[in-house]
Amino acid sequence: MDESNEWTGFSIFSPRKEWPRLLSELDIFFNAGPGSGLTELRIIEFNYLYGSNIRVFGLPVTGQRAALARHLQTLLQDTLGMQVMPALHPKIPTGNTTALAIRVLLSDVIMAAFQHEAVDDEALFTMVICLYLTLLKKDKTAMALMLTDTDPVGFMEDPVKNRKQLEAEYARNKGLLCEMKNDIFRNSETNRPDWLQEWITGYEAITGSMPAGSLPAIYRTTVYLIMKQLGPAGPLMLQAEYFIRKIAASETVSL
Amino acid sequence: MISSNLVPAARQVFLLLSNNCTPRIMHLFNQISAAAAHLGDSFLLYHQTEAVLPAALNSNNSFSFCDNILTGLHYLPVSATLIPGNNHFPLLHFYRQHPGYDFYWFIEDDVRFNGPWENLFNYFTAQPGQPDFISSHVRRFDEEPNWYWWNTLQHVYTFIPLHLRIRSFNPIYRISNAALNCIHSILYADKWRGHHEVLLPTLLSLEGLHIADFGGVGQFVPEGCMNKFYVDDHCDVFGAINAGTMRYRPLIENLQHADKLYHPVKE
Repeated sequence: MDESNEWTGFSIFSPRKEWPRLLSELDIFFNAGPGSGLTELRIIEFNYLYGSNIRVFGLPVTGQRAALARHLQTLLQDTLGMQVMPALHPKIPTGNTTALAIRVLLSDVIMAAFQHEAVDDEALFTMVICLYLTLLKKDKTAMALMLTDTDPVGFMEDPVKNRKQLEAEYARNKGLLCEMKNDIFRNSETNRPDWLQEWITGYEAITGSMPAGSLPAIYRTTVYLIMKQLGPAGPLMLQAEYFIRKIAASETVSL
Repeated sequence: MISSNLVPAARQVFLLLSNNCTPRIMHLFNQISAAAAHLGDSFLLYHQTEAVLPAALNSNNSFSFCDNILTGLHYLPVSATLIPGNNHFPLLHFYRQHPGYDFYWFIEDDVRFNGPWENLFNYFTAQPGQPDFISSHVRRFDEEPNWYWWNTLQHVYTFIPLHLRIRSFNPIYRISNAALNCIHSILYADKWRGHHEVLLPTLLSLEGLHIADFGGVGQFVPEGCMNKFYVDDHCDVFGAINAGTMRYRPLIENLQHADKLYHPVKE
């Protein structure tokens, strides 16, 4: 058994409106509180199985697993009065260190973005789009992969109707989407939220020295991890993909 | 002959899936056991459909399961029966009770290797970069977009974009301990479900694990393995594999090429 992959994990059940306060408390716990000396890494996921919840996983410093679990449980249950459940599976299934680094970075970004902002579908959607666009900026291969012939609407029950709706939504939001893309692609840091800058810088640091051949796989894994950790609803993820394909295709030439 | 490049530390198990215990199946099982004896253990992964186990089976050579694993493992099946789509459940059931192997070989009872099985087992045991999942006919969505089972990969609330999905053909595959841990976690804690031929390659690849192809053609075939252990052919417009030595149908009667995998062979 690989003891180095034994994480301490909890699902913290609470309404989404309480998540900013919860994330603030977790941030203090891991960075300045009792968790800081006990934790090597931590991962945050938004989750909705059995009710809205935040999954938090901590990789303990060697020999500190029980202490980390105890302190975390004390914070969540006794101090914050949250309903918590131990993670069903304590091993983080990361296939390689790059995937793990991206998971940790996404957790940092979630922490930075939502401690002071409500977590709702609109905020999640904006975040998914921004994170996703960064991948396309980084890697031309990713852009090519995104623009394959794959039809994201193909399996929907009524593709014609749904495509019409998506197209109408896209037309309504095109201006804003172009602005977001230009902001990310043009390296202008003005007006960029801190969490987005953290993501752009962090993703570049993780992938900057990697051979070009490995980037498509990293791109695919990152899209999956964005979906996994932000937990956007299926229609939201589909809409995000549709919008990104449109915006990537329509504006590439002008950039 | 055992190659000097074999990794002796890797502990492997070889599982022959069958719902029969006929002399023909036991002969195949004994062939595989003998060929794999220097690499690890072998078990007949026996799908028990009657109250009493056949006399030839015991805990040393078999691992039995019933249809109740479709609910008892607390995963979400894609149908009410093992086939279609849920053939990974018996393997995961075995893994959860025997988590100590490094690699798990899963072999359906209508797969044949037209040569000594050890040629296949030794070759992949000796490879320097050990893939976490080796199967056949590994393809991305955009290569065969009309394949019937793509959309079975589902989650209760979220969605994996289609262009990230991968399929494989799984009458025989080898999967690592890390990959099984990953799949168990995703099925048990995250509640993904899907036909194993889209679920396994897609999720393992996206989680950052290494997937590869035994032979055939395509981007997942390791260097030097093109059509090495099976011969691939184009599938039809719906992604059905009806040609080549590893195919869905029709049945194969003549095994023409040496050292190749064949499916489905009914003797």
